[in-house]
Amino acid sequence: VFNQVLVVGGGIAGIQAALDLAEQDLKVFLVEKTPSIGGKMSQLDKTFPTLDCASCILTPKMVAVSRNKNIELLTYSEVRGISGKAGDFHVTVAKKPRYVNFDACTGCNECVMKCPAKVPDEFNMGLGERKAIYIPFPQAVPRKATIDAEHCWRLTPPEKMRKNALERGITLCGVCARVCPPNAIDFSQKEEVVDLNVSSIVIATGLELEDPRRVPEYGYGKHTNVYTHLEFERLLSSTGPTSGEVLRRSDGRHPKRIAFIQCVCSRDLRANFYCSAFCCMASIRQSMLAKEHLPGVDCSVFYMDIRAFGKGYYQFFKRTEEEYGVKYIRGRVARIEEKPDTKNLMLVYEDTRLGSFVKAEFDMVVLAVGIKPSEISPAIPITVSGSKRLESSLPVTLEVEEDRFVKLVNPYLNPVATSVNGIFVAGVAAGAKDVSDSVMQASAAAMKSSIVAKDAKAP
Amino acid sequence: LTEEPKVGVYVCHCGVNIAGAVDVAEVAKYAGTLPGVAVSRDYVFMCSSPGQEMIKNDIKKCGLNRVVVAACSPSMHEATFRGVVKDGGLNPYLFEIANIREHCSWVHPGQRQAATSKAKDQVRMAVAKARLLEPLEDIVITVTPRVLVIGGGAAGMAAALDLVSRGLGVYLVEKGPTLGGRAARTGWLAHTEQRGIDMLKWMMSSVESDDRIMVLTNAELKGLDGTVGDFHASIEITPRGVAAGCIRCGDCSPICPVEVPNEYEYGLNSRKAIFLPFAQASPSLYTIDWQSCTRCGKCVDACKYGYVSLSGEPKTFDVDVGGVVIATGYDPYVPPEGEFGFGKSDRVLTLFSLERMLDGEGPTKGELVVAGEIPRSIAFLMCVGSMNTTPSAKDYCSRMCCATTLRNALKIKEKYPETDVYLLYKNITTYARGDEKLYEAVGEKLGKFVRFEEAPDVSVSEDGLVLSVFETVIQDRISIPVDALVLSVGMVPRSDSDDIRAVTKVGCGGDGFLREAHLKLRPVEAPSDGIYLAGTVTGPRSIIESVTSGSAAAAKAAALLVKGYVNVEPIVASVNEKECSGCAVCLAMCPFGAISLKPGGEGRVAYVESALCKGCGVCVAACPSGALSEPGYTDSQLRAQVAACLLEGGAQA
Repeated sequence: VFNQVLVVGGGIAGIQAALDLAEQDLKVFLVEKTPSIGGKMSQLDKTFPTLDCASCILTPKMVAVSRNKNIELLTYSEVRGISGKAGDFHVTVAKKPRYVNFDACTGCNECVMKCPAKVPDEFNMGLGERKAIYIPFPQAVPRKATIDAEHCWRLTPPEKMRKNALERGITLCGVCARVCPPNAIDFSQKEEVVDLNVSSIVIATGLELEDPRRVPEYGYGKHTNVYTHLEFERLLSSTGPTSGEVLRRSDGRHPKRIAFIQCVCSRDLRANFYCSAFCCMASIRQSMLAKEHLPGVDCSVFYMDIRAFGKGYYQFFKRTEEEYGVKYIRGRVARIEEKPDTKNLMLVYEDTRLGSFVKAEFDMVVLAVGIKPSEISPAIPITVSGSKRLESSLPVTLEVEEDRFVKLVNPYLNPVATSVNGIFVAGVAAGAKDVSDSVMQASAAAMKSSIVAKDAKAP
Repeated sequence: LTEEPKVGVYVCHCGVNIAGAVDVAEVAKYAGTLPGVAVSRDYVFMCSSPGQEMIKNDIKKCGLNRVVVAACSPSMHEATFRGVVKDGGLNPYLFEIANIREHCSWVHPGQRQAATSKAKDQVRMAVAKARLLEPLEDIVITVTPRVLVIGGGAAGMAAALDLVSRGLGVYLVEKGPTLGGRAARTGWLAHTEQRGIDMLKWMMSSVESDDRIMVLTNAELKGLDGTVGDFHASIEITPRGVAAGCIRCGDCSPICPVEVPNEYEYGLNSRKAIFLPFAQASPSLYTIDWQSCTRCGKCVDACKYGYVSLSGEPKTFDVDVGGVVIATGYDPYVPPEGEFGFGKSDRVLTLFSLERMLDGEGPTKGELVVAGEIPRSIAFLMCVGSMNTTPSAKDYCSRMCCATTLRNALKIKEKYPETDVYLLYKNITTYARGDEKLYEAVGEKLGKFVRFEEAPDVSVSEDGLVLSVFETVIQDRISIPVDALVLSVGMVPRSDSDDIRAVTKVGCGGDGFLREAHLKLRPVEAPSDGIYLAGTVTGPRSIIESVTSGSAAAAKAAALLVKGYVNVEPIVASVNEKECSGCAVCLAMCPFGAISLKPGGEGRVAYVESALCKGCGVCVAACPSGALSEPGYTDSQLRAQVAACLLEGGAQA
């Protein structure tokens, strides 16, 4: 327990918290539910307003985590329960089976190349395909193959093949096992449960994109050339499915007119009432990058308020307007219609600065979809014997607020404290925010949890 | 090393970042032909774990004693690969990067042949240098387990409290006579029924009562020498004029003949030259404002305990610390005389003075009184001083004013339901958690929102104000007569921020706020090691964000200091005293003040403080005697590199 801390979530907030704790010579367990750390930032092409290549500034941190002797990385793992109390938490972590011997796998990619089962690639927001055995992205940490059991022909034979296979008494596929040079494939792997004993915990479980179908008038999923901003991000990225070419889904052509629609599922009572805090800047940056990728492209951003509140953000916004000629139209788009022949999109909106209703045609629409907290944080069962404040032995749960973000019990004096003593929160789990604010809050959470860890007495 | 160089060369694809413009396989093949190269390979991501393993295995298997990685900038992955080389059993400085991404593939897209040729040149140069690399040992500096925190506001106090909880000592230096900073004078906080002081008094008393924190008020940092882990700070303390025994009887103040505007109430009332800043001031002592004091001596006579003294000179106090947290805060934007009627009419307030007015402990006891009466209508004009609203405004958003304005509008609507509240805005920026609800609540309480792009005109008359504004939603110019106008002013860098920049050598950006090491990923670190930035010194932040940044800065300082030592790169200048003529040219050239003169040779010789040296090499180049050198960049290594570039034909032959 002494000097041991758990960080839940391996995105930029969790990474930063883990590094700051490890730098203080504390032992850190970093638990990440997906096969690699990196989180949402790893999917970004560039950052605002610095225009750094996002993965270029993120991967050194990811590598630093993997090289740090004080950090034990538990990827493809989930926290199943937390009990005990500040200074002495017991944490149950389930390591999901990768069906690959972790130590033996060299990340050589042979299995991936030969695997016949194709699955939409979540790293590219489904715009490309990956295999059932996969390494989520080239700079993944750890760079180990994982079998997605649900889509593996061996582990879950597809309906069509199952009957035939059963009748003839054959086992399907298993190509990966045959081609793997170090023989690392192990179809018999089972979930493994480990118990950790830690003094304090940082929750950094991050975000999910809200489902843009909750705003049906924009036709996401129905109109071919309507994208989410994260999909568009992958189109801009040189590691994306089009190697950085912005091409339309319908005909593979460059769009000439792109509309960016802000506050989709944010500041909308049908979805989330809150502001997602980063999407204005994300769209402003995307419109700039679109102009750089596609000279002459027309970019229009539809907004309610431009929230360019961070350092250098407003200047960045003005640059896109004045230097790059991005058009900013204040108005909520009422609906989008698809033209059946060209798959172009007709936007119907009121331009509130002209006071008139407009119908305009675009080749591509990018929805700045709002975010919601990852479902995982409230789902962790926490049975903790009383906080110091309550002096009770009743189980305490990690409280979330109406907005489903983790409740901050004392935001002004301790902006990372949750309802459970000894458990702290950082990043988007504590409310929508951008990368730099997540990083800052993560360092603060590391600080508070290091104090608890240092106060904990060795048994 | 005496043994023959055996260099391993590793050419990274960086996905398509390099491989898209450079034929990496060709470069690797070419590298294999260079003298001293034992093995050369290319790989998709050298920084990934298989890439790292490849290097480690080759060091062992092929007996490599030098490693060259042709990849991205050393600022990205030099530390990574040095670690890999070390893990492989070599000295970490027997490693060289050829930056074929930033210096080649990224700047030559679509010129595959030329880019490949240039990458080959870069690799050949790196190999030539690598052959001559010598093993180096890190310089280990013992750190002083204490931190200097400059600024006693919310951010500084948050940092101080966290640092002592982690077992480190803190000197907390506050320029003014009391802790609390601007947050202590802030009014009603968003989402609470508490004022700034209600929150901060816990921090203030915790700081004051913690004997591991030495609080120095009326104190200013005048000098800072040394380097990460080992700073020497010189602090000037101005006498308070009132001894620590002061029981706050208050006899001294009324007799004082001086009256000046009270900065703690944002000028809503006046104070004396001897005064208590505010009721909860900490330390809870009267203080003398020497700028306005006439030295008449009446207060000295009035104090029956003899605690008041007009004599006493500023004292200098020197402290040794391992790290420094700069949390000196901001100033509110002050509109120029006449801007929106400011200074012309007592009906025009700033957000800061309004907050003092709505505070039960303020000059009006919490009553909204403008021009002698409760206004029947009040307008908030937002983005004053921010977002280019006027020519004198800043070109950034001040972040906290929207929520603060809405909170105060709500307070006014609750307390004076009859008063009409107008909010003139450009953009409502309620981005922070819960703030959108605040926006909604003001709408529900019938606050009237008016959107402008062109700054409104304010005409001042005897019996009120008239705002004339082009409303962009109704697309018409409207006039709004109001009894009072609140300017929601933003944040600007402190007027004395040049002083802290000069002393700490931390630079600023075009906005005048101090610049962090990296805006995205290192928001609370200054570019110089061991110096951290908290609160609004880097730009506008809310109280919650400032407190967060204080804790974050504490985390960085703690990481530096709890281990007791810090490793510093040994790539620093060194002096060959036999060759040094003591001409002092190097001393004049050094941008870091790392060089001094000491007795030696035939009089004096140069001395490099290696902990201060950043290894820039300016002195090495400037030395007319060739007495200075820098390991890792020796003349022979650099000559070999240049020769390799020129002799075998450049990229564009």
